Amino acid sequence: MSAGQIHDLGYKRYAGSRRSMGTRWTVIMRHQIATAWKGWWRFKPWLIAGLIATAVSGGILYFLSGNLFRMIGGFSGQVIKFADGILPISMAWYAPIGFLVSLTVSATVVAGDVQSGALTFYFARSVRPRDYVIGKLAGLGVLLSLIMLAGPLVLAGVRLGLSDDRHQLFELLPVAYKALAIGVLGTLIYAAVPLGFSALIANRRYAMALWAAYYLLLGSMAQGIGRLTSPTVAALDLASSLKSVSLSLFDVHRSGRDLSIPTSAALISILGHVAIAIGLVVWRVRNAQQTGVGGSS
Amino acid sequence: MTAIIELERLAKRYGPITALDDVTAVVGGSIIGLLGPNGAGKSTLLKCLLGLLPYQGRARVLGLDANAQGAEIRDRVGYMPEQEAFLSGMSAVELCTYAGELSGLPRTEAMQRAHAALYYAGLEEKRYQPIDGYSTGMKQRVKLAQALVHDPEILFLDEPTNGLDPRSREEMLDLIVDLPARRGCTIVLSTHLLPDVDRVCDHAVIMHRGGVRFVGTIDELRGARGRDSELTVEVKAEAAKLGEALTAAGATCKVTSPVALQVDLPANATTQLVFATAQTAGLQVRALAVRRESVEAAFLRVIGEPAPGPSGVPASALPGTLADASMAVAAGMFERGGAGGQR
Amino acid sequence: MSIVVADNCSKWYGHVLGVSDVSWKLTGGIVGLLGPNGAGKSTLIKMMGGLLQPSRGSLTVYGQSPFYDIEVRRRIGYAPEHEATWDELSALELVTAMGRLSGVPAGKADQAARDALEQVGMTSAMYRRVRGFSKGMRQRTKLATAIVHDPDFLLLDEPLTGVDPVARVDIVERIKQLGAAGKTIVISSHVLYEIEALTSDIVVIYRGQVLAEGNVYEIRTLIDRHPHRIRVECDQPRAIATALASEDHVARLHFERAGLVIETRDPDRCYDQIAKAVLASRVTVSALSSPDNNLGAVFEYLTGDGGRR
Repeated sequence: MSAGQIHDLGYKRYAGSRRSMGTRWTVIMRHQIATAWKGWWRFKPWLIAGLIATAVSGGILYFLSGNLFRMIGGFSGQVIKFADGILPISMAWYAPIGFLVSLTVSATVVAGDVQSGALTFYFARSVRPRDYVIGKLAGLGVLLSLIMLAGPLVLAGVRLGLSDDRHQLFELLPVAYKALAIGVLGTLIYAAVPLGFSALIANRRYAMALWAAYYLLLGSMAQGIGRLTSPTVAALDLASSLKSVSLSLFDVHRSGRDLSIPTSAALISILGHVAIAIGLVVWRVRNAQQTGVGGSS
Repeated sequence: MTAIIELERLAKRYGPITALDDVTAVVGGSIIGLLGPNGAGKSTLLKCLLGLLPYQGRARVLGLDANAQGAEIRDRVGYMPEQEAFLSGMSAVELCTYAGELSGLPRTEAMQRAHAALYYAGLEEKRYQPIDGYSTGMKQRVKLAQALVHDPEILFLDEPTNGLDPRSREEMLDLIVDLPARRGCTIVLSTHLLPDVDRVCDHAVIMHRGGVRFVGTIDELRGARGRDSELTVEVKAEAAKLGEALTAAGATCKVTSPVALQVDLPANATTQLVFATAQTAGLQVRALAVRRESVEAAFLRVIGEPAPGPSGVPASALPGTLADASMAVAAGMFERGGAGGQR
Repeated sequence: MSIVVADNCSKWYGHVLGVSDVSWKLTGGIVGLLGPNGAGKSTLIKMMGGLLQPSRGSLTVYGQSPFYDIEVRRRIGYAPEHEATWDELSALELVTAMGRLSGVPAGKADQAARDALEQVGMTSAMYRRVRGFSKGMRQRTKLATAIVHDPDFLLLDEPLTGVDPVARVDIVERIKQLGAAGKTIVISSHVLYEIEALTSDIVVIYRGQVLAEGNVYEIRTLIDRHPHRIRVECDQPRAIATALASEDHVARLHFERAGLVIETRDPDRCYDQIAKAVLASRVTVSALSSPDNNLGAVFEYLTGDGGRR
């Protein structure tokens, strides 16, 4: 008979290395993505909508590329083909999907964390405000880019693939980085701006409602005023600004129908919104770091 | 005692308000109670130590400077907050794993330690369920577990027994008492419940109005073990009769209630005297103990607030006997069995 | 005369059980209401305060149902566990408003509020807004709202939570004074030494029913399953053990580092025999105590059996 043994299940101190401080934001980013991915209503349906939009646009692009896109007139007055028109117009389809994602994911992030006490959880550990902000932005950015950036890039790829020969391919290469540019702008809008709203109000539902009200109501008011007075005012409407930038990047405009918002105004509006939003998040988070931990007395 | 926290002229002012007033102290021990009335500066001190507030002066935790190396300190220190600090929609395991990763542990290591921490905290069965559905007791345990995941060297506990029913309180205190031995960490326990401090702490730091009024062991706080000749005695009945008999035998007595009295034995006498005298008088001794100040009474003394006498008037305003009586009553209340029983 | 009479009283919220078939009388004094979380304490308190009515049976205060009878509610002061205060008001405004709501006539409400605030020690802070108050000040203000209309019966649900040690001593003292002035007070708390500081009369709620009531030391004597523990710290524990081992009332003896713990079914005889042994063997006793003759132990014994009942 062998001698019996009892193993010591005791505690072993952690002697391994710790990840450097600079990589903490990746943990937060991954967590944000995983949280949005959970469940059926937060992100997956919009992703599917985005895929459908891309598939449909891509299909139109492919099958009807040669046809004339009658409603668009180029700046030079030329009527252009579908092939060149689809990409800029597609933003009109991606934008609402991006907005829906922003509603169910972005607009509740910080408010939710404030309400549940998560900020105390974060800042009691070695998370710095910048880790939190960058991590959340990156996470939301990845999520949104799957729709707002991947879509246009795919369409750009299809467009390039339709070129007749290598010469035309090189000529058309700018399409790719223009797609990248509007994709990034779109991602920024629906990731950062609602995040700012969620930092403004410490209640998830109100933050979501305020963002929706701002985007939809204020947006359409801005559009309305812009039509009556100067189109620059309409730059406050993020959706319009995004559309304008994407149309003007591709030198396309729809005569009569759309307001032609000056590109510079649109860009300033978009980037201004993003900057203010990030500022709000930083403010809220710094605030929480100083007051949230340590108890009440 | 190795010092874990060193403060040198630590000061924090918000304009005219002084939260911390040039505090100098060296703190060490195994389980340290951090005590003080509201507004004493405890939470400000904690924030400074964790590197979350800028301050003047010097503060070192585990040898690291809190202003410059705050994040590093927080990597090596665990904090169990008083309020709710969760992320909704996560299970206990997910939360603790996340906590570990945020403190720099690699993912698998964080996950293993999350499970271990949850086992320790007694949440073995429920650890996969979402925290949103937990009872108060379970939530407190998760808070403890998430503070332990990353193997901290110091654990700050802020009112860990908040909202717990009596049995859960005892279990939480048992967990806390075991931590230094089983997890190798020092505990700093911030609480308003002084009998808890009596039960688990070996050192104490008392703050008042932005300053530290006391740093040292609990024994030092209540005066080293009282002289063996100063006793409190309880009898089944007729304490006065015993008092007279003992006085006749050379002791000094003060009757504090129909069944209790304070006895100062004469030189060279042992507690045998009490039993012998009681037997001769036909009385039954039911309790006997060396007089020691309760932690609560010591605390009040240190911060300069007198314990009130039975009529509500501060004891310092009452003449001799009654004042001592109230101290004895206060002492007796927390010494008798139960809460103060084991240490 | 009973102040509160519960007669086969039950309360359910859908499937959730509040209390079940509670028959109990409260005759007066300061009584501690204890029980594990979810046992039904809050339900009972709310029924006594008139916020809930029983699903079945009856619960009357001063002979009337507090849920329906406004007059009897004027004799009850209720300080709930949660604070839902209007932070914008000052303490004085808040207590005055609550006084008006509790039936104090408009002309007298202000003075009644001032008196109540003085009784709880808030005179110096009564003009300040509740928003900036510490927990201790909030608890005092809550207590003031419960006594402003000079009720005869007070229901205090966790009145000392979060209160710092200085304020705790003071508030305990003030509650004692209220009791001494003749008010009947029911206090619910999880912190047993708070209750111990106030009273020896308790009511234990367990699983929706009244498990025990009365003087805690009397209840202790009724718990046969757990013989009384007596701890003797001395220099010759074995001498005492030897003397007691042959006694039939001794259920168990065990040795600790500092001495001996005896479990006995007859503590009275045991104390006598310990004294005899001490004198006979010339043992020097450094401490003699009964570690489980207190509220904490009684509560544990009553509720700790986990179902075997």
